[in-house]
Amino acid sequence: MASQWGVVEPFPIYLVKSRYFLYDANVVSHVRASHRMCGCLTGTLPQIPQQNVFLGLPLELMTEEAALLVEKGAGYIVNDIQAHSQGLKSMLEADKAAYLEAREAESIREMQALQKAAEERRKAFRTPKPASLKDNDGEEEETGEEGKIRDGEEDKVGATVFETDTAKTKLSNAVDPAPPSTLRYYPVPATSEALYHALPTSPGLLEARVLEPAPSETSYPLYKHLHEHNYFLSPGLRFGCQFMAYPGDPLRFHSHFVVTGLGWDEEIEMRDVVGGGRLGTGVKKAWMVGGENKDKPGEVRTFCVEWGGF
Amino acid sequence: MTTPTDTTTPHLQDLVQTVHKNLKHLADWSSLVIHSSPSFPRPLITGLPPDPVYIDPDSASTYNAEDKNSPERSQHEWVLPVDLREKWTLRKWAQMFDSLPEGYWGESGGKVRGKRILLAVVSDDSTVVHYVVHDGIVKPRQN
Repeated sequence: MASQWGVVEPFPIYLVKSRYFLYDANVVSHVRASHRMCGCLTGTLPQIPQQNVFLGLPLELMTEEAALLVEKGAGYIVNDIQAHSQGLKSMLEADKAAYLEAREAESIREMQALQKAAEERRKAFRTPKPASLKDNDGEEEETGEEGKIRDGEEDKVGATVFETDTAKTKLSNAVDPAPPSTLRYYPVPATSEALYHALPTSPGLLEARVLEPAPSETSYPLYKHLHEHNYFLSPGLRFGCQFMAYPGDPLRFHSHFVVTGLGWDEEIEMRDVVGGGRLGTGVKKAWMVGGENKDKPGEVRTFCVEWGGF
Repeated sequence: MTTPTDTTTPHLQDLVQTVHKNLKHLADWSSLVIHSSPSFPRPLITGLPPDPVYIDPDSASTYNAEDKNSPERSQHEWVLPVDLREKWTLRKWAQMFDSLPEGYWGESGGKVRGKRILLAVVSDDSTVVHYVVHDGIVKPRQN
């Protein structure tokens, strides 16, 4: 069953060093529209890695999001590093040779183009010979001995502005074609998935359950509870909590709650309750605290705290 | 944890008296009643605030502060006095709310509202601060 974006569930979620990533823009759209998960865009520009205003793919998922997607059967976890090296190993010899050949051909083509451009630049520089240069040639012939000595020097140096016929031929030889290894561009396909990744046939991996994410026991039930009540949740570290809860897509709504998950018997200082209440009220939200009822597994209790106003 | 003897300790009596006085003389509440039933984990206070402590954001535009008979105006509030040095858990919150009477809790913005209490935190310099605690997912009011 493919979605509007051509995404087939379960889709792969890539695990790199205990962080979960989505690389495909279609999967990102699908997850946002169908699963109410926004994640965090983490990709920046290689040239300006400091800028963090306009981030792009890949999308990093919270552990809770990855866990819920796996639990729903919408996604499965792929160990990215392992799948990559496995994919490289299992690449067919013929494919590898064909790829290397294509790369070689492309670099030769590139080199020839570069050489041709250099040749043209040189030609453009030489053809409209100005009168002053011709005069120079004449002078050199007249000076005789001195001119010959200069010619000799030119041979060694390879190129100067004052060119004689012999120097011209030497000059074209002096530009060695650059060895292919110094060229900076190699054709690399935009997506590496098909090339390098050995993706397991999906149901098999779901059964293995080895890579199932293990989110925190205090936050996951609360995350799931709010998710089931149609809230969008995003990481809340920037706002002094665990999650921000939006009543709809964060592009359309302000968040309603700053959420903190607690264990059923985890003690909380009154001062932290007051601080939480202030934190929420200060930004026109409520501070929510909640967790799973240990006596009734599956039941999640939540409490919303706001300043009393007097 | 919630033995009836708790409700009679001098510490809790003092706490309740401090909050009661604060509500009566400083916050101008009316109809104040202290409830020390053994079914509650500790003595609670009910009363009528001069201004509603919570207005549903969906009805904030239609709420008329001049109308003395609006449902928001006639909402009695439960007040839970606690000491600043206390530590609470989700279990205690849940027990607290479960001990409150079930049934009709009034209306807010045309909707039947859930349980809520006003947490009155008393510091040792007798400062009292009040925080509204809702049971469940309740939209924050518009400030």
